[in-house]
Amino acid sequence: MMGNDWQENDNLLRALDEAVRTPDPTPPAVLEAARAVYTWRTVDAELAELVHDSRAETAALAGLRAEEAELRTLSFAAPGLTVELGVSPSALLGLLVPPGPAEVTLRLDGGQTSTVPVDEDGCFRIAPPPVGLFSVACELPGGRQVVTSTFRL
Amino acid sequence: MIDGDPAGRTAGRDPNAVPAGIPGGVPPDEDFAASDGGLTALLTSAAAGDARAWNALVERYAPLVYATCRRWRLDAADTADVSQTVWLRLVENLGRLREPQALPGWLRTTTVRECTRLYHAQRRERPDDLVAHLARSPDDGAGPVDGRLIADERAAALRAALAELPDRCRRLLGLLMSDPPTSYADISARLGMPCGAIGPNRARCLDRLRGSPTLRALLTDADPQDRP
Repeated sequence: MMGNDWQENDNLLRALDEAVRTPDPTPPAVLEAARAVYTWRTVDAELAELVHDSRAETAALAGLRAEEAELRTLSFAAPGLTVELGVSPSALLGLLVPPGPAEVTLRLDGGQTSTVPVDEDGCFRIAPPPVGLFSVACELPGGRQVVTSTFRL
Repeated sequence: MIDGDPAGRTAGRDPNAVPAGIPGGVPPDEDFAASDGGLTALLTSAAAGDARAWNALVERYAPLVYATCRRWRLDAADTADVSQTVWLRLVENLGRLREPQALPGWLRTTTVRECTRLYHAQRRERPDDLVAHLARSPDDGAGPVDGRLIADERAAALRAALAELPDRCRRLLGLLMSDPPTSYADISARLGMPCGAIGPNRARCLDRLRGSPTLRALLTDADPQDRP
């Protein structure tokens, strides 16, 4: 909240004066990371946004399930396509709903990409699971490009 | 209010302003009216692929994103993660932000949402960890450390808000804040602004600061939904 003291001109100017004289405490690495994510900009692809992350469920559910150590599941949705991901220690198991694309493109931190085959049921497997930021892209029948939000496990 | 205010009208309201067109006179508001500190241009250029514009947005707003994470008592590593995520979300949404003035509010909302998401994720992993719970509630200003985190966030917001002002406002406020103080005669000479217009323009620029997208976003952030 702004604080009532800023409603008065002299106080606001004094606060501004202090603010511009205060060294910015943001670590250079944080600024560099923010600059660097610009390389994840995609021009022509539609975004499949994260709509579900089992790890972020409510605290009440968390208490019930904490001992089960179940598979973490993620869902990314775009119009006409959902990308489901299950995270196991050894692999990322993916499912395209509806099935269709014969391959997905995995993009990793640093910009490397690899092509992963998708079976007729829409299933694919990425092993080992990606470390750091990644996204999964595919081309739908008709040529639409869809890419998931960039994510870190 | 100076947005789109023709020089003539403002001059009529401000007895000290010299109407435009008079030899030696200074149009009081033309230089103040149009600019938003380049926010629209930066966002448009960044959406079009200009990395320098992106870097300028980061330079202006990343310290505020960082300070907000810190106020939520995230530790250094979590703050770095959330900050990076917020900027990733912006990269993904660059083409969809239709209203550039909404960017500071969008960044703030996204930062708080990601802090909240992290909070829930960590409670999921350590549901009985009361210490973690307490450590993850947003800062309420109760203690001296909390007070410093809030002050840091407000200072970061003021610096970002200052950058959102038209160049002429930034220069005027900069001169008014200089130490030792710049005399009105000196300011008048440097900015080509009549002495009598300095006071009214100071008030206008401070009003404009209060109405900046960043300070408005900060002002509306007492919302209960921001709490985890």
